[in-house]
Amino acid sequence: MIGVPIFVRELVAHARRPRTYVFQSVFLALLVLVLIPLWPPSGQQRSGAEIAETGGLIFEFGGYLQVILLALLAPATTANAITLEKDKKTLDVLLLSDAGPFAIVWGKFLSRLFNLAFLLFLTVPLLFALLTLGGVSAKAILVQFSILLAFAVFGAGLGVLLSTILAKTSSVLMIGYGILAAILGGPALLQQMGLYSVPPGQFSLGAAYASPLYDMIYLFRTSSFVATESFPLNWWVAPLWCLGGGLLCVFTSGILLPYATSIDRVLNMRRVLERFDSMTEKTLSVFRRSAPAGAERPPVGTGNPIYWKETSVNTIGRFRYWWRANLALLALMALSYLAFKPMLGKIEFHKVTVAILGGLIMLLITVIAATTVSSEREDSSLLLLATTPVECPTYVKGKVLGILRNTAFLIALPFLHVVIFTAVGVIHPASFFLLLFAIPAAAATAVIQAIFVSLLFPTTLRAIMAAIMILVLESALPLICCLPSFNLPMSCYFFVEPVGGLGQAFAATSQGNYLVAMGLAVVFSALTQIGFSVVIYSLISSGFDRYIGRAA
Amino acid sequence: MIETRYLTKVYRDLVALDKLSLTIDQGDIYGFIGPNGAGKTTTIRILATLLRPTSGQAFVCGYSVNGQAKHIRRKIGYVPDEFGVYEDMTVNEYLEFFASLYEIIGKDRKRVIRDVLELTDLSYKQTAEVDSLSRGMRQRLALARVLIHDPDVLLLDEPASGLDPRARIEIRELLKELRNMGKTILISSHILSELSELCNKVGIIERGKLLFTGSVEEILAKVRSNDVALVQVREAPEQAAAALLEHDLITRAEVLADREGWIEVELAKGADDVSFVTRLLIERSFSVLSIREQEIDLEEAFMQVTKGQVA
Repeated sequence: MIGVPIFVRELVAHARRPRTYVFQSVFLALLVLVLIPLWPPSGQQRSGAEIAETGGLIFEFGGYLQVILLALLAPATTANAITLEKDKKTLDVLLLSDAGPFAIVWGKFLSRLFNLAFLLFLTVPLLFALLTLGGVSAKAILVQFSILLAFAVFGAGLGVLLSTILAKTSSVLMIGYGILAAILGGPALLQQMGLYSVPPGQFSLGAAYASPLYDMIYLFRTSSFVATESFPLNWWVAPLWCLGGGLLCVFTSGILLPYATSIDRVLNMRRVLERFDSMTEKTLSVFRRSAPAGAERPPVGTGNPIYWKETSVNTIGRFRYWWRANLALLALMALSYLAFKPMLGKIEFHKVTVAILGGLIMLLITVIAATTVSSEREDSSLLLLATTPVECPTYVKGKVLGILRNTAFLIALPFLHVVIFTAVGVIHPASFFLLLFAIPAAAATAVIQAIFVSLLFPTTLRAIMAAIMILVLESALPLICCLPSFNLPMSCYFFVEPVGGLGQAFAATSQGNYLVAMGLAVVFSALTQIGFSVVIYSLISSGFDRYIGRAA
Repeated sequence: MIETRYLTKVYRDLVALDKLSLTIDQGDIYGFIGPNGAGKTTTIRILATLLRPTSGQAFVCGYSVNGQAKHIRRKIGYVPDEFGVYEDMTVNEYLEFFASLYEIIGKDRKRVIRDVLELTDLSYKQTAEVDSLSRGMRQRLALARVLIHDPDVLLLDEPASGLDPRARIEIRELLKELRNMGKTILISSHILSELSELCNKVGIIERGKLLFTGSVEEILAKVRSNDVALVQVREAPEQAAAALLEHDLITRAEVLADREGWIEVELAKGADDVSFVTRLLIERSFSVLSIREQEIDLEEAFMQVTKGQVA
């Protein structure tokens, strides 16, 4: 049977690792922790209908939560499926064996899918416990499970395909998360931005077909299928395409696997930037009388050598690439204004745009910072650093400032956007100052906490996963306490307010000055983040030698 | 310069180093020999302040690895068994980067980099990208890197591993130059013939235990208690061997099955030298075609001292 030896090998290796069981426990604990507060208290007298309604609610939110957790876990489970073989130079050995490319990709895909499916199966007892509350039928559980499983197939298949065509696990994760986030949240964003409208009280079928998350909302919100088992029309479209798409991804991986190394060389970010660089160089040379003089990058100098490495040697930091990549970002931004011209007068469009930029900032910074130490560990250069006299302040300062400098333009983009539309009278000027407290503090905290995670975890994949998990957990903080900038997309959304209408909707339902309250919240949040960063730095400092692999 | 006392490292239930005690003096080139998994890398990593010993003491330049690691790091240069690659860095930038980590600045930095590049014969490659270098060049660059801060002690873990013969010879010549510069070098290697030429002291380690430490001459003398001669006779090697065994000063005489007419003869203490065997055979009317003393080398000494066991 196709891929059986590889499937078995991967499965056995996975089962032997203690972290597999830790991971499963954490997954279940998260579900239980989130869902337990919804469970009906035993002391109160409640009607059967009320209890059944609560059961349905737990079931519904459990479904949403599992979709989000799967979106995080599926690419992570498969991201290193092929990249690791490429790194270890074992891909050629595998390809030369009798197994063949299809057996390799199917073996890897199925073993990883098995683990994801196993996670879903672990929740079954939890879901069946809901049957005791009523309001949820076995049939409903089966429908929800099929949507989740199909989404797991798509996520895992996508991960395998990206792992085949890209060289770095971190790139696989970044692009994988980007695609899944666009699929899950895309319909909402497009609707929010006013790109398509749905009559009040109706649900967009297109959104339900495109996104498994919306398919669930469609199931739960537009019908009473949980209680009555009446299924809305075409609920199966999203799981069907997810299943087909996932399998197609794996099949395509099988076709591309023999050429994997050549493909990832073509798609290599450094090469892409080099091509972009030479292209812009040619374009710019038309306007220039002579070729630009000077060295390709600045000399090491007398400053912080770690900062120099981050900003001069790393692909993303190299000045030539950096400013041209930023130029491209700027051009994209200008083009997007042209594309969305009719929307530019609507505040909702700007709220969502700045929220997306906030999300991008956090995701990109977290991934870059989470890989910064673990990638040095993987290529053994950390070992060389460990034998030098480099100390914690130099190392961490160099890394933090370097990463912030590399992403400075991205961090500046929401401000630029707000400034432009404040000038034309769409956005309230106070929004800029609210963002001024929120974004830099959130970005700096994200960098330092991801560096800490990177110091703790031995591989890039685990470091990215852990850092993103922390980010997701932190994004829940504004829901339980007044720390808005811990969820940057959300705070960006709320901080961008229209001229003459700052917090009108809120002010109408509450007392006091909305702006002052918001200002205090963001300042308090920024201060908390600074304090949090200091705590993390002291943790790094106290164990720095151990983390980088040397004796104190 | 380097001293370990009862150095022990235990990983869970695996004893990687078992009360290892050795002394390396200033200017010594100490060859560290042992099978894979014997504890060589563990010892070097402890001395390089990358690992903390479970018990025992280790001193480098008078500083203890327990608590004085910072001082040691400025005194040592460590070349690990795997080369740490910085993609997208030129040779010159690579050395500048490490020089700045050692706080070597200004004109000093330029001079030092020029000197180490010359020493390692990499001057013509200073603008080349590090990841484009051959394995041999990378090892030379690794040596250039560790020389940047002019360390007193060099800890080299398998520096010739995976190199082609030419690159190995180049590294050996470079190490000889470093020896002449008065550096103290601890080098682990599997290529024993090269160590015997380079080192004045060796240590043989197996299963975390130091089986032997001393000069190369001492180990050769230790494993070879008696002289051994190889003699070739024109005809009847079996009779010749039997005739030799009749003499009191011959303890062993074996015909070598794979070499026609050759006999391996072991002389007891008291025999003058191997010419004694020639005289004996001629007296008994055997025609001797060739005779030579069998030389014992470090490889053979290593094989005799160790049992092929690993931790």
